[in-house]
Formats: sequence, C-alpha cells, structure tokens
Amino acid sequence: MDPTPLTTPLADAASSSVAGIPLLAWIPLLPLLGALINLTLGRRFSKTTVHTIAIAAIAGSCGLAFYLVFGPLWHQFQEGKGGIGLETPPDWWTWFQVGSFKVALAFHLDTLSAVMVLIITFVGTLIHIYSTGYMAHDPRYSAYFGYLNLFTGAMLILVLGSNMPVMFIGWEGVGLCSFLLIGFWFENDAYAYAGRKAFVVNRIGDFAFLLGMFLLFWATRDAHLGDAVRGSLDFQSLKDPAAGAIYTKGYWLDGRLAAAAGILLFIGACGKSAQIPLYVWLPDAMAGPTPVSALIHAATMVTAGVYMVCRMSFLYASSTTALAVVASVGLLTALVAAFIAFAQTDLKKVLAYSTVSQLGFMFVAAGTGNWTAAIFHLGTHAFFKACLFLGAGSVMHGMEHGGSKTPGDIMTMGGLRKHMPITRITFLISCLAISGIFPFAGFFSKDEILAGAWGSHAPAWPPFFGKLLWAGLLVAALGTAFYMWRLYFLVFSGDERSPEAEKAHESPGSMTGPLVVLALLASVAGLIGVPHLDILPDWSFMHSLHHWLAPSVTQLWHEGTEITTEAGDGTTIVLMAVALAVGAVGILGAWSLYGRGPSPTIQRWAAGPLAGLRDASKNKLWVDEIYDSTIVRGFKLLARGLFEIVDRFIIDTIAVNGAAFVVGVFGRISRWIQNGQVQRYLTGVIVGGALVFFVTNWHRSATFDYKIVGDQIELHALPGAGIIEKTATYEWDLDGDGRGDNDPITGEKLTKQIVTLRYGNIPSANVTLIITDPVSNEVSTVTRTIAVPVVAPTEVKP
Amino acid sequence: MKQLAIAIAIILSCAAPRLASAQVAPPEEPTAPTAHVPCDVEAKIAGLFAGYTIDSCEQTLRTNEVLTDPATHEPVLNVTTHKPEHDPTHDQYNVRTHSAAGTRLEIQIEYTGKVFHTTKLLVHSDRIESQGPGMAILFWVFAMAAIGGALFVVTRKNLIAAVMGMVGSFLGIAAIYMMLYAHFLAVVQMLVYAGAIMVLFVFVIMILNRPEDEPVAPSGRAGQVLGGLSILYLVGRLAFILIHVKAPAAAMLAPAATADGHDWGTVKAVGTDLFTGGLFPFEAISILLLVAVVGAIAVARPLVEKAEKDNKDAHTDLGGHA
Amino acid sequence: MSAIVMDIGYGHFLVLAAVLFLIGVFGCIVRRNALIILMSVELMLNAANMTLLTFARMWSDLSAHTFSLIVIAVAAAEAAVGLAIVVAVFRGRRNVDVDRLTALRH
Repeated sequence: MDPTPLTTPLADAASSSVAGIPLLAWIPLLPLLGALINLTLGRRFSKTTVHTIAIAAIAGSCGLAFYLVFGPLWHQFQEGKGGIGLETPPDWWTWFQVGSFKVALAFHLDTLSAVMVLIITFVGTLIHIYSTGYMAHDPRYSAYFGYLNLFTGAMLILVLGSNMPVMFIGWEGVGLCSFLLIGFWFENDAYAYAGRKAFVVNRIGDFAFLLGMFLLFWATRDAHLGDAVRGSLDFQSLKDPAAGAIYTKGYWLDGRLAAAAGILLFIGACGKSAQIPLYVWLPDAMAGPTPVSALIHAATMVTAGVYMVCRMSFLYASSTTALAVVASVGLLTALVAAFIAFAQTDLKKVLAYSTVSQLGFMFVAAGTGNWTAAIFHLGTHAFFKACLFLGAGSVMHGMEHGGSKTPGDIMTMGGLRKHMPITRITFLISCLAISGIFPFAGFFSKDEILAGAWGSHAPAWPPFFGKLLWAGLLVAALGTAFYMWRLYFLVFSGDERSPEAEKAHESPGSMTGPLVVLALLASVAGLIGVPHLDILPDWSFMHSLHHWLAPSVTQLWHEGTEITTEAGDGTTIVLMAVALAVGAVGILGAWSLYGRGPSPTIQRWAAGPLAGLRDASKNKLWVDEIYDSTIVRGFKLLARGLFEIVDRFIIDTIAVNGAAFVVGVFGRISRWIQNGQVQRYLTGVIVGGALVFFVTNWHRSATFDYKIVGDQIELHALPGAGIIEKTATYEWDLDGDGRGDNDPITGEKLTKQIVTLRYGNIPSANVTLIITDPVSNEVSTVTRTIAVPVVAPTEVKP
Repeated sequence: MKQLAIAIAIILSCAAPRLASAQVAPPEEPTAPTAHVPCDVEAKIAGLFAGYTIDSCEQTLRTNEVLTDPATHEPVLNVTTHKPEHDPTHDQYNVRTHSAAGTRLEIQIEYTGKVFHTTKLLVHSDRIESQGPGMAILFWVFAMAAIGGALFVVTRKNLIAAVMGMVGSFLGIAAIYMMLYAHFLAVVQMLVYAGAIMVLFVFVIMILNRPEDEPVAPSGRAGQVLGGLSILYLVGRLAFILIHVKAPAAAMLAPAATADGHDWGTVKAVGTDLFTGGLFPFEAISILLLVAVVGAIAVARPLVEKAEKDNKDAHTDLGGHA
Repeated sequence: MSAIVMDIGYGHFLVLAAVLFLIGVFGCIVRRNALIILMSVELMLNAANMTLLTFARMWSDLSAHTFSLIVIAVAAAEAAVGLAIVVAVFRGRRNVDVDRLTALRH
C-alpha cells in the first residue's frame, strides 16, 4: 500500500473539493447554508419548503459525514493514521495572519471528532424530523429551523476546527444559538430571562476559555514552524512536546502551565457543559422548545466541554492537578444534580438535572484519563437522553392536546402507558439505559466510567482518590436510577391523576419515528464499548471505540507511563455486578415508592423526617438565590456605583455637559458676532482689516543676525513683520557714518539681505543696517556691535 | 446757508481746471533747434529736479558731460551725445540748463562760446502740476467739501440734510476728478450721481416721508466703538502709507495725448477706449441696467393694487351677470 | 509739514479716497436707516472710483476711466434696485430700520 495517504483513492476523494471548498468543509457548511436560506428568505416559504431545506441540509451533512468517516477516515485508521485523519488543505483559507502567526480556517477530522460529527449530524437529523411535528403550529417556523441549522453548523465547526480559534467560533456560535433557542418564545419574560441567563453564564465560562487560550498562545511556540514562531493554537502542533519547550523546564513547564491552562479551559467547559458552579443556566434552559432541549441541552452542545477536554487530552495528561479538579468538579456535579432531581416535579427539569448529573459522570471519566469512557458515555447519553427528551416532548405534546395548561407537571400525569404506547416503550428503554441496566447502552458506558475511576492511578494522586470517585459515582448512579424511575412511574404508571392525562393521545409519526430510532440505538450502542474481558471471544466490534479513539487521544501520562484503566476480569465483573445492583436497587426503590403514583409512605416521609432534604432538593439547594444575593447583587451594586460615578458624574457631567458648556461659552461669544446683522459682520471686517495693518506695522522689530565662519562674517538682515522682504531695500553701514557702504573688496554697494564680508574689513565694531520700507518709505536702522575682535582695516574703500 | 455752500462748491469745482491751468503756462511748442543735431536725452535727474523726467525732446544730444544744476552745481542730467557726422570738430560742448516756469527745463548747448542749440524739455513730476499754492488750496477746499459732505451723510438725523451733504460731497469729488484730468468722468459724476441718483434718493425719502427715530443703531454699542476705533486707526495708518506714494519715473506732468491723438481724459479719449477695449463690459452693463430696471419695478410694484384690481374685476363680472 | 500741505501729490488723492471710503464704512456700521446705508455704499463706490482715477493718472492708463464708468453704471443699478427694495420693505413694515429686518435671519 502506498505510504502517503494523500495518493490513495479514498484520501483523494476526501481531499477533493466541491465548488472550490474541500469536502470536509461542506459538513459544517451545509447546515450553515440551510440556516442562511431559512433565516433570510424563510418567511416567504411554506412550512414544507422550510423544513425540507433544513432537513436536506442536515441530512446531507450527515451523509457526507458518514461517507468521510467510514470511507477515507476508516482507511486512514486502518493504516494507523487515525490521529492524523483528514484535514483541509493547509493553505486553503487563512483566517488571519499577524506577523508570522497565522490562523487558518482549517478543519480536521480525526477519530475523535468523527464520533462527535456522527452523533451531531445523526441525532441532529432525527431531531429536525421530530421538530416538524412538534413545531408544526409555531408561527416562527422558519426562524426555528434556521436557528437549528445554524446551531448544527456551529457545533460542527466546534468539533471539526483544527485549532483553538476555529473551535472558539463554534464555541461562541453554539452559545448564541442556545441563547436564541432558549428564548425562542421570548414573548414570555421568564423564557427570555432564561435565555439571557444562559448567555451570561456561558460568557463567564467563555472568558476563562479565552484566558486559557491566551495562556497557551503566550507559553507555546509552533512546533511546525520552528522556534522563531511563538504562539501555537493548532491542536496538532500543541500536541507535539516541542510546543511547550519554550521554557527550559520542559514540556508545559513541569505541568504547572498545563494545570493553569487546563483549569482555565475547564472553567470554559464548566460554562458550556453545565458543571458546578456554572450549571445554573441549564435547568432554566428548558424554557426552549423540547427538541432544542434534546439536541442542544442534552445531546450535543453541553457535551462540547467533554469533547474539548478529550481534545486537549495531551494537556490534561500533563497535569494531574487539572485532572483532579476536573474529576472532583464532575463528581460533585453528578451528586448535587442527582440530589436536586429527586424532588423536581417538572418533567423537563428532572431531565435537565439528569443531564447535568450525567455530564458530571463524563467529566469524572475525563478526569481520570479515561477519555474513551467519556466519549463513550457522551455518545450513549446523546442517544438515550435525546430519546428521553423527545419522549418528554411527546408526552407534553399529548398532554397539551389533552388540554393541560401545565403540560410538564408530572404530578398531573400517570397512566399514560395506555394512551402513548410507543412513547412509553422508548422512554422505558431509555430509562433502563440511563440506569445502567444490562444490556442497554448506559450499562456499558457507565460501567466503564466506574471501572476507570476504580482503577485510576494518575501520578501524584493519592491512592484512595480513585476509589473515592468510584464510591461517589456509585451513589450518583443510585440516585440516577431512583429519580429516573420515579419520573417514569409518575408519568406512565398507575392511574391518571388528572382529566387531561386521560385525554392524552399518541404523537404523530414524525415524532415517534425518531423516538424509535433513538431507543434502538440506546439499546445496542453499548456494544461498541464492551470492556475487555478474557472470558469473552475477541470480537472486533466489542471495544472498537477504544481502539478507534486511541490514535486521537494521548495514552501516556506526562511522566511517560501508560494511562491504563483496565483491571483484571475478576475486578471488572465484580464492579459490573455492583453497578448493576445499584441500578436495580434504585429502580426497586422508585417502584416501591412511586410504582402506582406517589405512595403514602413517601408522602409521609416527605412531610416528616425528610422534609428538610425535600425542601433542599425542591429549591435546588437555593443555589440561584445564593448567586443572586452574592454575585448578582454585588455585581449590581458595583454596576450602580460605576453608573453613578463613572457614567453620571464623569461622563455625563464632566465630559458631556462639560463639553457642551465649553461649546456653549464659545457659542455665546460667537453669537455676539454672528448675530445675523450684516452691520456686525462689516464691523468684523473693519476690525480685522485694522488688525492686519496693525500687525504688519511691527517692523520696528527689524534686526539682523551675524555669523562668523572662519574669517568671514555673514550679516543676515531680518526686516521683521511689515516689510515685504523681497522688495525692501537694504543698506549696510560698516563705518558708522550713517550711510550705506560699499563692499570693501568688490567696491559694489551692499544692498543684499545677506552679505558676507571678511571681518577684517569692517572698520568699526558697530554695524548698522538701514532698511527702507518699499511701501511707506519708512527707514529703520538697527545698529549692533559685532562681538569679535575687529582687526584693523586693511583696505577700506574711500 | 447749506445751499450757499453747495453753490460755492459747484462754482469752485467748475473753475478748478481753469484755475489750475492758469497757474501753469500752457505748454509751449519746443523751439526749433538752431543746429540740426540729433538729440536724445537720457535723463537721470537729481537735486532740484528730482522726480522730473524728460517729457519731450526733438533732437538727440549725446554728450558724456554731466548736466549740473546751475544753482548748486550738483550733477543734474547726464546727457550723452554723439558727434554729428558732418562736423567732426564738435567735441567741446557746454551744456547749460535752467528751469523755466518751474516745470520746464531749458537746456542750452554751447559750442565755442556760442549757443547753437537750445532745447526745451517738458518735465513731469509726481507733484500735481502746480508748485504754487493755488492748486493746493483748490485741492484742500474740494477735499474738505467731499469729506464734510460725507460726514454730513453719516451723522445727520434728517434724511434730506443727509442727501444734500451727499450732493456736496459728490460735487467735491467731481472737482477732484477734474484735477486728475478726468474731465469726462467728472461730468458723469455730476450728471449721474449728483443729478440722477440723488434725485432718486430724494424721491424715495419723500415717499417714505418719515423722520428717523433713532438714527444710530442702539444694539452692539461695544462693536460700534470697536469698529469706530478701527476706522480711526485705519485712517491714520492708510494716510501714513499712501501719502508717500510716488509716481513712477514714466509719469508725466500733463498727461500726453492718447495713442489716437485725443486729449487725455476727454470724452473722445474715454469713448474710444470704452468702445474698443471695453466693448464687452459696456454691453454687459446695458443688460445689467435693464435687469436692474425690471427688477426695481418688480420689487417696488405695489401688490395691493393688484388685489384691488382683482376685486374690481370680480365685481365687474358680477355686474355683467346682473 | 508745509510740503504735505502745499505739494499736492498722488498720495493726497489716495488718502482722500481712503478717508471717504472709511466714512462710508462708518455710516454702514452705525446707521440704522437703510437709505443712509445705501448712500454710504455710494460713498464707498466713489472712493474706489477716485482711487482708480488717481492710478489712471499716475500710470497714464485710460482704461481705468472706462472701468470707473462701469462702476458708476453698476452703482446706478444698485441704487435703483436698493431703493426699490427699501420702498417695498417700507410698504410692508412702515419703517426701514435694518435692525428690524430680521425675517430672513437664521
């Protein structure tokens, strides 16, 4: 086989371009084009046209992604070049260039981004299809699909970008679309507020992300372009140890730089992926349409942080400190979100906290260096959580048709299994998956995270830290199983608790179709990540994900030891069994308390011994209130202070009014002159004319300079103002007799403005200049004493 | 009293050229030379005759001698001669000059004790014509008339008085024009200004028939004071500069005839110039005057009459129907 | 001193013209009556004419006479139109104070 991949037919196909744009770039470009069309012209189109365009764009993108991943990239992967993957030509598009620093608008499809691209385009396509049913009656149909396409395009830019600035375009783009879609029904103030909140909280994270980016830029150099080029933001280049070698202490400054940059970037990820302390926006984001919640706030955008951490695995592997922060925050988030989810009564809120919790799981996986597990859980979670959200949307759709004014309130549901069979089955499968029940997808992915935490032995970590993470995750998993099944039982089991629930009916095919597909995937997707067990036959598909991702993520700690998370068969099986048991316990607990609606037991407990916990959970641990009273209020105080001092006083009073005052003073002065009365103007003319004559009368200041060069003396007449220099007549009196003299040498009369003499020829030390004004014939005389020893005259003209 | 002053001014202004020429003898024809010697005098005149230039000379005299002023024996005139071809012995000249009638220079050239050539030169100075007091008196009288009339205009409250002052001023100005040998313009000045335009002013004043309440604008007193001071300064400064204006060397005592042979400043001379060199401006002026006439009629036409006429027409129509 | 009084040169005529001109300017500045202002303008035009004629005399150039003639014609036209405007204004306002003619101001 040819060693250079670019000459292979498949690689050729990948590097070929359509309309001058590389095939790879068409993946994000197609949805962006769809967005462009729908956002500009969409209002003139019929709904069919709008969603045909949108779905065609995303489906085309999806097809292209499948082709590129399973065609050329697969080929590269088999050649062991999965980490190199496919790239747009290096000089295709230079975004900007500052000196030698160059940022290209380049895309890079390696095995890691391939997983993301497939999830995004595939789930995205399903959700587009689902949306045609869900949003069918919305007046801003085209805007919705435009935003959805725009989001997909931005997300694809995020995952495909081959350097951090391009990734940041996508990062900000998805934030923008998230804001637009959360506040899609902005007529409702609370929804608009939720959108704003999401945006602001994301901006806080983005700020840290930018700082991390700047830090990397400041501290690195481009490994490809040599030592001279400082600053590198290209992933491939950063990955090279040479990038960090700008400091003599070696790669990433012995991990300290990696820790700082990693933590800053992780704060960005916290904002985007809703981790403590920046998770508060995600539950509120449920104000958006449900498909949006499924696509953006469950399957794709919120996983951007996880993706980013895995993408920067080389950086995090260099700093176990940063990894510890990632894992700890992830664990804490998983626990807190699970706790809050216990007492929520809004269908989508429960799912939102579940998402936050599951994202915590992913970050724990990333934090233990278990990149594969993080991505694996990301993928399976995308399927089952999207399925859950879409199912929730279907339920709410049905409830709304049943006449419910609060379609998301699970306390008014119950017994929907009879009315919505397809929704119920898919929801059930997804709940099994998220609870980690064998053999559904969640079982394998969650198990891999747990096993990885158990077996993690990152350098410089205390040995018990991994076990601690594992234990914490187990509790979170227990909670997950409990609140998810509580949700399921409250929605589908028992009897209808409201007349609206009785009237609910199944959703149309455009909505149930995607549910079925997603449920199917939630069932079987786990197979790509079956852990390595010696007792199993070595089928290639079984942990194909691990092999697939291996080239794109680092496999070594900074010290050079291998990142391994695998344990022996025995340990693995025991851990699996424990996880399974925990899931089962959670389900059983939920069944016993909520199996037929809220049982009297739980109601008694909630009123009695568990009242405090219930309030804490129900009020989301008062986090919003705490933020409000501390950060938001402090910020508002600061803003008010700045407003009063800077804006009101300095800008308004001093700058603006001050400027106006100064102008006003001049205006009052000039108004006295410019009063519209011609006589006044004539006065101005006359006064001005007098001034001209007055000024030009200053010829009394006439004088002359002299300069001695060698034995020459140069006299330079300065007639002063009022005399026209060219026509004034000059006479030089050298001997003090009051009349103009002749040049001692040539015998000609000295009439020039500048005369040069030998100073030996000057008979007297006093030289007089006589200037005659050509106009008034006034004569001015200036006498100066030449301050050099005057030699006796050798030759004086009589 | 005013009328008397105006009459005196008119008489004086008419008499001015006559008085001026009475002071100076009428230009004499240069006498015929006694010897036929080509004469060409290049003059560089100093001393008493400083500022004079040779006006006319029929013959060329070339000599290397310096013409001296007989009174002071200062060199006055450089005359270069070239020896007459037919008389190679003429190498001794004695050139004498004396002034005659103040503005004429008589140059006698003696040879071997005998005056064989006398040439009279008209000398033109930057002083106006007269060296005597008559001219100066006339100038000051008319200048005072002009300035006094002008001050009358800007200070009188009574409009008629102002107009009369204006007329006096214009007459003085016309006399000054005559002293400048602008006879035609002087007449035009009197006809057009003192006659037509001032009469127009008088008519308008009669139409308005309204004395001024406050002749001097009350607003902006500071500006007026400043403007007045500026004007006073300008008067002094300009006078100081302009009084020193010298005539160029080529200027002549009495203006020579024009190239066409007409006397300088006469109707003929001015007319010839106007209808040759200034034909286009002349035609343009005719259009301007037409526009001014039409415009003046259009502006001053009473609109009320038109309205009344319309009303009347309407009435007539009604009457017709009735 | 006596030379300045007795020897009348071109400078005297120019000074006279300047003085007349400045008197005209003074009239324009301080007087309110439109008629007086028009007369002052005429005065200024005459002063300019006098300067022209003086220089014509000085340089023996007759074309300045032609120019002066044109100036007089323009002055006549200006006086005609100006007086017509004065009459029109007076008809509308019953006064000709330039201070009060503020309709076209600003």
